[in-house]
Amino acid sequence: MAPENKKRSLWDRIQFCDPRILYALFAVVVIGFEMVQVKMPVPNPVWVGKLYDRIESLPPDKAVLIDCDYGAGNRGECEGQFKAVIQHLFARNIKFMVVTWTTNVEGQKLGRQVLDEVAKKMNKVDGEDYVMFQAIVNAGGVTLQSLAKDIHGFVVKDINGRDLNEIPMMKNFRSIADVSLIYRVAYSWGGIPWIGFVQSVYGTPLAAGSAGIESSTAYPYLDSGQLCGLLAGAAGAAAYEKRVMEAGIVGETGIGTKTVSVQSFATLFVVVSILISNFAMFMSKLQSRKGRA
Amino acid sequence: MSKRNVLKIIAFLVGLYFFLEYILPEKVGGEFDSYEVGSPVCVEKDGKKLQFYVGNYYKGRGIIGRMVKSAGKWKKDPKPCLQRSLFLKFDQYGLVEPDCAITPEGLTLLYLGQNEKEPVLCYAVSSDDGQNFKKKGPVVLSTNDVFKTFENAPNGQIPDRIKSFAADYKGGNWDVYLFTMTYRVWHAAGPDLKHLTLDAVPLVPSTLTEKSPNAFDVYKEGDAPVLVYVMDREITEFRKAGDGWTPKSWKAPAGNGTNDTIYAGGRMDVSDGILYLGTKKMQKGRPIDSPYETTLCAVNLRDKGDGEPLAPEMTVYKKVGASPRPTYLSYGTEWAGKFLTVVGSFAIFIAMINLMLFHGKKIYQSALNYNAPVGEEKLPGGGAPMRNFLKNAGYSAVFLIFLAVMIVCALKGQTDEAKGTIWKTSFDFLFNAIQAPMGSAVFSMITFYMISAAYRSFKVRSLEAGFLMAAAIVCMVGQMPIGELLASLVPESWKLLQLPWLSSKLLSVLNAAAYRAVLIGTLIGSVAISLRIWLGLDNSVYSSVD
Repeated sequence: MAPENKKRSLWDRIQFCDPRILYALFAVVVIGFEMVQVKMPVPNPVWVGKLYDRIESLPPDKAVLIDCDYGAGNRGECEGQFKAVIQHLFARNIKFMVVTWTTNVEGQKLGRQVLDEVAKKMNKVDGEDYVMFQAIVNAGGVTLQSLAKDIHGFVVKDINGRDLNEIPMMKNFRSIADVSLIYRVAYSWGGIPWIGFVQSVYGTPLAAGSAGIESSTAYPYLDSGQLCGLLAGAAGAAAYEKRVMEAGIVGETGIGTKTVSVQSFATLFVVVSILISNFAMFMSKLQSRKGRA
Repeated sequence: MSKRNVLKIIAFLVGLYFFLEYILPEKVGGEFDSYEVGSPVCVEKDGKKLQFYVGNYYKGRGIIGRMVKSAGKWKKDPKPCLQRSLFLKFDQYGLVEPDCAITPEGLTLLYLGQNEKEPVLCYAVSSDDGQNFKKKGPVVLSTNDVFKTFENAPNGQIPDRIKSFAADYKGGNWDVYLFTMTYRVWHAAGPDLKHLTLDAVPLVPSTLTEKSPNAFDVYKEGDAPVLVYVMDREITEFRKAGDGWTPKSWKAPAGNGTNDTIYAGGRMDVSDGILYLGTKKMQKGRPIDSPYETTLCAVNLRDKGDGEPLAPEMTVYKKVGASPRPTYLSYGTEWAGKFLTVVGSFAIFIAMINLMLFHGKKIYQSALNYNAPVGEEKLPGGGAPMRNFLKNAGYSAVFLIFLAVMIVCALKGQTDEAKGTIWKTSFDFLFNAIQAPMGSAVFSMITFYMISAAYRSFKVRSLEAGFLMAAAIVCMVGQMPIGELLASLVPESWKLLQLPWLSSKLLSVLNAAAYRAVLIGTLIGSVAISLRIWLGLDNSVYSSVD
């Protein structure tokens, strides 16, 4: 319990300050750095490079399967990860299929907006260079297993209601044997069903993009080789965007780089406030000990 | 038998089915060569001409089929003569590039087995009748007479990764030519395929052609080997002349009589002056991917001079066949997947109906009270009827209205065809202006609460809490650009003080190790529970039965 107001020392007042002050300061930091973009060095995590190299070495006759499961809440972190990877795939002329789930309608809608925008810029055609399937009801491992065995038998139609057999690029991609990489982009990388039912069974490489806060659970799988790459949070997106830009695929970095700069100062704010709070606690304790003495 | 026991048996059998489906390797079904055919090799046994070829039931996963020549025509066997291994790993991903020879044992066929991991394995099988094959074992090569196989070199001491090969058996001696990834050709010889001595230097030390050949074979003219390369529609023979190789080329005819074919990759075979090879259709100068009609064809090279026109001897077309079934039990998995999809869809419907009933009932009750006479007010709070109605059922009404609007707009405005219609515009507006910003706003609000919670509760009151805070700060800052900025101020050799390095080590070593321990523990528990349920030892799941 916080001590009564009149008995509070300065350090106690700092320690138990009104949360609204914190909210206001945090809002000022975020909005301020959103408006005034500060150029920061982009981190270069090793797993981002591994995913980039993996995509660079993909055979052109096989497709990439993208599991797009991010939502509006984590768009800031995941959209950049999705966008940078599809830009890279388009640039390498590697065809890809995007799968979304009925449990997250936002994944389909947001993913489609990004796809349409990038495809238009890079002169790619829906059905020839990429395809987005109708959202699938996610019933766990069995769903992924069925999808892996027979894409045409399980998915049937794309988002525009076209039969998969009528889509030109899908003539060549019928099962997981025609897939050279699975890339899941979501708030939580949560790829354990993909690992259990697809990656470990068929040996198809799996990579993930997830929110920074969720990425720590992916590290054991990176170490074991079950995940071949990871884009963690906006920092991962920014690092990938930097590589894509350096390769001359796009002229400028994207949302990931913008977000990571603001996120950096927001993180610094959190760290500083925790340190201030702890320092205040320490000083308060010191003061009360002196008082007792 | 009690109802509970019946359920237990059903659960066990279903579990067993899916367990077997999961562990059994893929198996061919449908038409084994439905996708494409290629890599033919011809041999004459007991006066009968046989042709073996690779059939794919989809991209990759090749197995060997057979054709027999009778009355001047090639007839394909409906079933494959050599399939991929079920339980051995070396060729579970397919058999490619066969070559065969008649030996005292009968017919020996060699092929490259593709497996989950590199390298491919050159393997031999033999048959008495040219139809039923017995697996013999891998071809073993050596440069120092120690004929041993290794896990990463199953063919013994191979000089490079094998891309293709050719084999010939004459006078009790095998001659095997390996075409490697660096375009070199190595020669190995010996009486037994398990004891082949590799030459100290390659037969062809560097590439003879600028491009990688589509197909490769070697045949012998007397004792001298003749290398045959096929590149697109050009066939080239190389004969040894001094230190070099002299080429002799022909423009090959189109495989199926038209100009839109190209000679497919894989192996080919030259037998008695006839070249057997597979062809594919071509588009914009590149072979197009199957499934399309593919062809096995034979071209007469006999006594043809340099550049002379060639004539096809035979052409066997293969149209796209019946779809494959990848595994024995895959029907069950597909059925279960579809069943669960349907059940999942129903669950969504039931949830929607439930919500509609709940909110509809609320609106209905409020509407009844709306007409209640003044003074007999049943609703709490009193006041005007409209205000009461909105207070009690306002959110329900908004929910139902938006549910209906969103369903209609989504159904009619989702597809590309709806572009420009009111439905598409409404759907996009509802999503972009309401759903997405609200989702982001709700998520963003959590951050404010997190800051408040961290500020108030994240206090270093013990040594462990101190470690926790230090790790949290290192990880948070180390992954951000600010960490990079701070690291740039520290000399490169002082890694321990560089936050990105420290953060990556914390995450990939300490965090990974601890999380792995938690995961393994949890998963062992899950396996134990699953086994108990599967074997009927856990009665709690059947508690409502009987």
